[in-house]
Amino acid sequence: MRTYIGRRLLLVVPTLLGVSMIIFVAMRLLPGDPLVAVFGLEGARRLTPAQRANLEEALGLRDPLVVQYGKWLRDIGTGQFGKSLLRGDSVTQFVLRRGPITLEIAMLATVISWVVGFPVGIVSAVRPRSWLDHAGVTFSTLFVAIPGFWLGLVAVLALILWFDYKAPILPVHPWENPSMNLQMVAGPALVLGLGFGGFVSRMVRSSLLEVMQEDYVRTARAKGVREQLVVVRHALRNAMLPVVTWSGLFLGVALGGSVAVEKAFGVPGLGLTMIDAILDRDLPVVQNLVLLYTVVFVVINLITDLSYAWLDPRIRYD
Amino acid sequence: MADQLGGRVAPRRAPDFPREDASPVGAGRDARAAGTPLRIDRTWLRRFARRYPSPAVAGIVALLLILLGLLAPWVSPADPLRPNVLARAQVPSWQHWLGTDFIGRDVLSRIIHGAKWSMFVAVTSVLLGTTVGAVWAVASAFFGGTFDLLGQRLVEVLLSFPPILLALLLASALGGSTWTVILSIAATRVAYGTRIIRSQALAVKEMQYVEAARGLGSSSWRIIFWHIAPQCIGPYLVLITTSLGIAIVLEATLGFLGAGIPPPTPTWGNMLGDAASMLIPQWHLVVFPGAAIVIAVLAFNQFGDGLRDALDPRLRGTNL
Repeated sequence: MRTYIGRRLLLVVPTLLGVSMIIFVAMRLLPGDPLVAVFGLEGARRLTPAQRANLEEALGLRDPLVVQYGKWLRDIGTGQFGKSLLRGDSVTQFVLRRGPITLEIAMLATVISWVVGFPVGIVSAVRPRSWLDHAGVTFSTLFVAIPGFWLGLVAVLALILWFDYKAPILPVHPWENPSMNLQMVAGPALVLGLGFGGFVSRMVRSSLLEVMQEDYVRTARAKGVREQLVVVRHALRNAMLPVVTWSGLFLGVALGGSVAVEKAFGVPGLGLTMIDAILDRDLPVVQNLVLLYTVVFVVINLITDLSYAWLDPRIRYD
Repeated sequence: MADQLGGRVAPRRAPDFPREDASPVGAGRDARAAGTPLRIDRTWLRRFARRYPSPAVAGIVALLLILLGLLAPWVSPADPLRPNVLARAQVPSWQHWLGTDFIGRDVLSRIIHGAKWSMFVAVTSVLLGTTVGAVWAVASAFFGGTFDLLGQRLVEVLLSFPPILLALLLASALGGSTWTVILSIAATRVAYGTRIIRSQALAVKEMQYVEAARGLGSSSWRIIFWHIAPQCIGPYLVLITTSLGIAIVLEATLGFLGAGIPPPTPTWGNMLGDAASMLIPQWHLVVFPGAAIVIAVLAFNQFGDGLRDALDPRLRGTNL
């Protein structure tokens, strides 16, 4: 196990270097003038060539690309993540203020996906081909297909029409005002959670159906164990293993998926910040936020793989 | 979202109740790997329809959607781009079945033309991405060595991005046009194609008949094209159909976020983006384009699931 962990950890380094290179190249290709982000369209046009040269010098845009890339890596290494060209806030501030909202949404969505997905999947698997099973499969097929951001738009529309809903402007943290905070994250979390719930129920169903055919389940039945206990104690416990570990990945996916959902709800999380930064050509913010997202994604994937290998020794030896 | 888990193959593979061994359509990968290439003819289609009725219906719906897209200019009742100041933001009526948008363009016509763009982008990008991935995978599996090793690292890099983030980053970096959107979505598909097809190609490479071909003095290219590639067609087709729904959602998301095909081109995502940018969105501008997306994704997903069960039951329970 230790060598397995070591090997996986070693591989993270080149992967993240590759990721940072792709991000860097994409950032330099980004059309549009970064100075427009600072001064606005009019302001940037009025700059004299000398002023422009000075500013670009100051922002490091005149250095050779390799030097720029090296500087970026150095800054990350020393914990300096740069400032927004637009607002002057540092990226660290953005992450500290808005990150918790997105993290909350992702975690709540994962919990909701279990709360919805497990019961539906279990009922489906216990009574295959019954009308309950058909209803469950229909539910999961439908919610896997519905894009989260559209469900979000429909929800917002309903809230506006019936409850006079207004999109929040500033992030509210749970330690400041729990009920306001809940109002802010509940919608996106529910929308994302239902989508993953469809996926979880599908996995639970197929996993449980497989386990129910194992010999030890037949043995348990032959012993005269009540069917309920057979399902809960014997089958479910083993069927849960893949679902729970793979759910770790949902957390990572939820982070990515929440980008469009945050936009739909107008919730000021990190995803919305990133979208706005991309549209505004706010290079330092985009660069570091995308990197942060991928780092989190990679770490979550790694933890999931490791936990799987830890729980199921067959994986370690390939 | 099924793909976003990184294209990994779950170690547990679950037989749903049409049991693997009972599947009359294609006898699973093993049988074909032993040398029977996949043939999709009329008999096959008839069996598929009988064995998997709802995927078959979904497949027909998907075909109809593609047809609708192809015939858009002739089918749509009005010009999707012509504004009409006198009929702004109207709710559905006999004149405009699905209403008009905020500058008076006919929503039904825009949705029909949206089908054209959505289908075109989805099909092209998935074909492009999966094919690049597949070719790369077969070469990687066959030649192995450093090429394979470096390639696998690159696949890991590509899989480190949540797909929507990679598409968003590339689409904005390359600038807004139809082809850049196609390229960005294709880029998110390459890694999945490589992963799945490489494992198939690795298995086929060890087959005895490949060894026999080599013994007879066949060249590398001959072995790749005549002995390995044909065995990868099953997973390749499954990958393509199951990726189409994902590509449709990615395209719509890009449009919604303002990084897709630039307006005024009517795409479903652009329509939703426009609707959301209004202070109080009108219900018909939100509901109908979204419903179109859901119908399209459902059709492709259902068809893809059926095709997967028929062609390659072993991929069931993976995240395809």
